[in-house]
Parts: sequence; C-alpha cells; structure tokens
Amino acid sequence: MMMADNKSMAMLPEEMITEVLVRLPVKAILRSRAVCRRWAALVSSEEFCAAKEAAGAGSATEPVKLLFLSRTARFDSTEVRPSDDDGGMPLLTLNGMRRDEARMTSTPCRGLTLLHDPYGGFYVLNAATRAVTMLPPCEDKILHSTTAGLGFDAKTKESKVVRLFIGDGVTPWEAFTRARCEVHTLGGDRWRTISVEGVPCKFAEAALFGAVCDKLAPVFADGFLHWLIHPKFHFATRPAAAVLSFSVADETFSWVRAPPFDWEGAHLTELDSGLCMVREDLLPRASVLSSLEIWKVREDNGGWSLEHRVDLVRLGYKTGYVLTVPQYVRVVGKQGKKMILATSFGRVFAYDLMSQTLELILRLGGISRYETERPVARISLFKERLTPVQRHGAKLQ
Amino acid sequence: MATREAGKKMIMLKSPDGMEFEVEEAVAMESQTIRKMIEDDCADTAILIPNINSKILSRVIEYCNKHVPTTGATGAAASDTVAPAALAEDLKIWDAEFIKVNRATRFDLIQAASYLNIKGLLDLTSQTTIDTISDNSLEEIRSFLSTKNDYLPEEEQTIRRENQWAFQ
Repeated sequence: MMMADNKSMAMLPEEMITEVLVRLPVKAILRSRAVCRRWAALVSSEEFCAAKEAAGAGSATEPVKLLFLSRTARFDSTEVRPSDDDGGMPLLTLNGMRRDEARMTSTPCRGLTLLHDPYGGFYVLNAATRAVTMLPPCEDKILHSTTAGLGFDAKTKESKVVRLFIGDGVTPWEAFTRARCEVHTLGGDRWRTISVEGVPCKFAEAALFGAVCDKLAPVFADGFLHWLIHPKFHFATRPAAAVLSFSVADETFSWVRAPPFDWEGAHLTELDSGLCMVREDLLPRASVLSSLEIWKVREDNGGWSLEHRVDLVRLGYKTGYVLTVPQYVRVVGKQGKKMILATSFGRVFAYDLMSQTLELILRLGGISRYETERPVARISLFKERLTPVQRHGAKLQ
Repeated sequence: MATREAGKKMIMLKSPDGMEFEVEEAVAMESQTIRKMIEDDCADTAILIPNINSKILSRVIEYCNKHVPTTGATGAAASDTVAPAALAEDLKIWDAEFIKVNRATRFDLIQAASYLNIKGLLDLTSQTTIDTISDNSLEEIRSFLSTKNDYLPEEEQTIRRENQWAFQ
C-alpha cells in the first residue's frame, strides 16, 4: 500500500462520517453498526435518525416502493412483503394476526406503519429495519369498531398511536353512539384515555363510523391526524365540518370546515405534507368515474382550493387501463413527483404528475372482480427510515 | 485561463498554504458556504478557505468549473446542438475520471465537499465508500477504512443477531 494512501476514515470528524453514512441504504447502516463502537453509537443516535429522515424526505428521486400484506396458508398469520417481491422470504411474518382481517396505514409516519387486526391487536412496524413491536392490549376485546392512526409529536419527538372506538356506555344507546379516544405513546406501557370534547360529539361519531365502514385509517398531516366526517351519518343537513382533526402534540380535537362541494364518497390523503381531499367526479347521467379532483386545505384561511385534476377517461385511453367503470380509485400518497393510486382488482399505479403517465407497480393477488375488498388497507408506501418502533425493550420477530 | 470574459465577476480564493485561485463568481457559488459568504457581503477581497490545501482546492475548483450550469451565449449554443441527456452522460464520464484518486485524496475531497457544502461533489466522493460499505464483508470494510474492530467477539455476535437479515 502506498504511504500516501494510509489515511483512515477514523480521522474524519464525526459530521463527515455522518454525511457519508446517512447516504447508505438502511440495510447497510444496520450492518455498519458492527464495524466499530464509534459507528454503532453514531448510527444509533437520535440525531442520525433525524438526519436520515431529512435526507430521505428531501430526495425527489427516492424510488417508489410499496409494502403489502399477503395471505399465508394459516388463517392466523399474515406476511408483509415488498412490492419488488421475488417470491422469496417475506420481510416478516406476523403470527397472531388474521390474514383476512389484517390492515395497515398506507402512508408511513417517519417510516413507521401501524398494523391492526380486530382480534389480534395493534403492531407498529418499521419495514426498512424490519423491527416490529406489539402494542399493549386494549380493554375492549373486539376491536371491530376501531379506527387508528399513527402520528408524530414534533415537540417531544414521540410517536403516538391514536384510536377512536365505540365505548361501553351506561345505556346501550350511549354504548353505540359515544365515540371514545385513547392514545398510546410508543415506548409506553398503556393506553391513555382522551376526552372527546371541544367538538360536537356527532362529528366524532360520524368520523368513527365512516372510517370503520370504509376500513380507512386516518391521515397524518401537519401534526394532526385527520378523519373524514361522513356527511350523511345522522345529519339532517350538510355538517359544517368535513374533517375531524386530532393534534398529536396537544391531544385535543378540532375540525376543518366543509369544502364547497358534497363530499360523500370522497377520501383524505396527504400530499407534500398538507391535508388533501380527493373527490370522485362522475360522468353526467352515468355511474362512471370521469376524474379525480384533489383539494388542499389552505394554510391561510382553512378553506379548500383545487390542486390537481386527474382525467381518468383520457388516462384510460392513453394507457389501456380501465379506471372508470364502477371503480374505486384511492390516492395513497405521493413519492417524489409520483402519486400512488390504489384501484379495484388490487391494482396499484404510480401516476406521474408532470408527464401525466401511469405505471402499474403492484398487483395484489386474491382479489376478484366481485370482491368488494378495498386494497388500500393492505398496502403501504415504503420509506427508508431508521425510526425505532419503541424506545426500549425486546423486539418481536 | 488565458482570456477572461469581460463583465464576469471574479472571486479570489486563498488556501491556507498561501496559494490564490481566481475563479468566476458563478463557479465559486457552486459551494453553498461561499455563496452565503458572498450574499452576506463578507467577500470583498479574497476568501480564505481554511483546512483545505491548495492541491485539494484546485481539484474542487476543477469540479465546480465543470458543473456550473452553462448560461449566456456559449451555453445556449451548446444546448441547442447537444441534447441534455448527452451532456449529462458526458458529465457522468467526466465524474468517473475525476474520482479516480487514491483513498487519502478522496477523504480530503469528502471533507472539502462537506465544509464547502457542494452537494454534487459530496455525493460523488461518498459513493465509493458507500458502495464498499454496502457490498463488502465487515473485514473488508474495516481494512478499506483502516478502522479497528474494538468489539469483543460476543458483542459483535449480539449485533449480528439483532439484525440477522442485514448480514445475509
């Protein structure tokens, strides 16, 4: 070896090693923990985790990758697989989670995905590090009427799971209608009860029922978890609010005012860290989808403004994919310049907003033409992040 | 540097070993650190670049010269005749040649790119290190980086066990 070539990486200051290591894929970062103590301490730190988050969030070129829940031979077990699955080993297998009931949040929060099975309970997964943790059991045994999401408290740097559910009331009527709320802070050992006050109780109930019926998880955007308020759920007139919002930092509820259209059948999504509502536009005199309109909440006055319109008819002609017949098209989220659309028959597309082209990126098996199941509850975007699934404690594999 | 086009503002960069480099402002502003100095009006005369010797600084300037976005008359003419994709391809080949340096120089370049905040150069110089860490065994990584393994055998086993899939 040449004398001039004997300079060691160990001589580089910490910030510069960080600069290099933060560019590594998560798998290589996990391996690099075994190089030496200094590196292990560096890549396990909260600062490094944040730097990785910033590096990933800033890159428009991060490839579109998805996760999906796959059925296994056993009814009480579910597999998590990546979209570039080669049929080999799954990322992980969750025993105790029923294959037909399992669902997950479709946009990860800082790399964490919430999984949920009405019988098995809640799990939090980081698909990049393959770490998973089971949350403490909930008091109500059957979690059918639960809707839950994962959010991040930027003040305390904690991740929290928030669930709305039907509680036991004093009278049967109360049990059926009174929505309750519990919060679990990752790394903690229990669920805390949060009072659903500050908003009309009908809003919370309509949000809960809408989410449970459509198997939709709330959307995390801008520090809040957002549920769509179902416009027809025991309201005589159109409600004044369209979205129930929960502040993950303050743990209080608020609402977002109604958009200038009827939002029955619409859904929420997060694009460029802002809350959006996706409205399905039907062709006149036919129950055929013509386009999707994406409305964003304005930061200045809390009103709604039209951001994008996706012409499904034209897109269908151009690409040969039928997207208009009694179809279901959901905007999952955005990766770089591409919007991810989950549609009927388990097809997932990446839609390029600039070139207006469509690319099929995943086809879920086991979903027939006649099945009403909505694939969005079985897929999630994949992000290369290091966020731990809990602070301390053993991992579950 | 035979002739200098009129009207282009020049900046003087000084290395700690006393060498001076006169570069176009646009080239110097490829570095976010220098851009900030210029924008804050801290760059009236010469800018002293600490920690970066003349040998490395000249290479950094060479990189910035190549990567500065071409504008003005000559730039427009070039992009009329050559497709942007071909230009990008040329730049890639040039980059590959540029980074054929020994390890010590590469670490110096990483340090310079980091201090001067030149994202493209940092990506380029880190890439070999990243490839090595991504693809090679731990022993190869340690020898490449001249880093010592300071773990007890049991400790290393524990780390491997914790994320077994990453070591396969």
